Amino acid sequence: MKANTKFTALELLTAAKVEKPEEKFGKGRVRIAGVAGIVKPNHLITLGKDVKKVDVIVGVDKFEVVLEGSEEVFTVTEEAKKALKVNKPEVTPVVK
Amino acid sequence: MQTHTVKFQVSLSNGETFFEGKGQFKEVAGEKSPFQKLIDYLVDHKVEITSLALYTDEGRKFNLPHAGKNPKFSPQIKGDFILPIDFNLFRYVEQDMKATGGKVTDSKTVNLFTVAEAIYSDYKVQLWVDENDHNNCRVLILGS
Repeated sequence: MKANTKFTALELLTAAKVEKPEEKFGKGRVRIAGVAGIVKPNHLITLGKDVKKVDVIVGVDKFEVVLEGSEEVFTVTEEAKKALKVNKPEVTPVVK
Repeated sequence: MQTHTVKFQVSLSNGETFFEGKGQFKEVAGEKSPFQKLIDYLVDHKVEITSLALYTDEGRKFNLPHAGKNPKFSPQIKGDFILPIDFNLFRYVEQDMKATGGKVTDSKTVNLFTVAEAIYSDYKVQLWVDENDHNNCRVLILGS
């Protein structure tokens, strides 16, 4: 998982090794990279190229995703592309 | 550093209550914002927010719906209300700027609101209070 990429919230919770990540949305607190109010798995999160790690908070637990460098060219994951086509979900840019 | 006239008051699932501007949640230049410090505190102590309100130094208080089992507002005890799943807080700033030769020569803040959010599974309820006119208070509902 690399920076300079657009991900879905579900992809980031999965990378953070959250147990049963798909069940966490809309039931309690989900914050990714400081963004509050994430209630849908296809919420899109864009990680800028300088991002090294991402904090993921689910309920009262904190997880961390450490990124393996950065994509040279801005990338949209396949899941994020699907989300963009199907639901036009909320998009939250993350600038760090 | 901006000093806010509308600040948060928060109650937690462990019974604690904190006020922005007091104790460990003071605004200090170069540090995280008081609300960011609160988020760190929630994670460190494994607690959740049960209520979030805004208050002013002259004693006004603006409440969002309560998420705990024992709300102080009795109609919320009697009614079958949906409880928020999370809360958030941010500041909204609008500025007028004058630019000459590509450089900003003057700027003036025209709107500054403190905004508290109650987050539900399908929408958010936002409580907006004007930092410069505490009588100017609005509620907005946003789909998510």
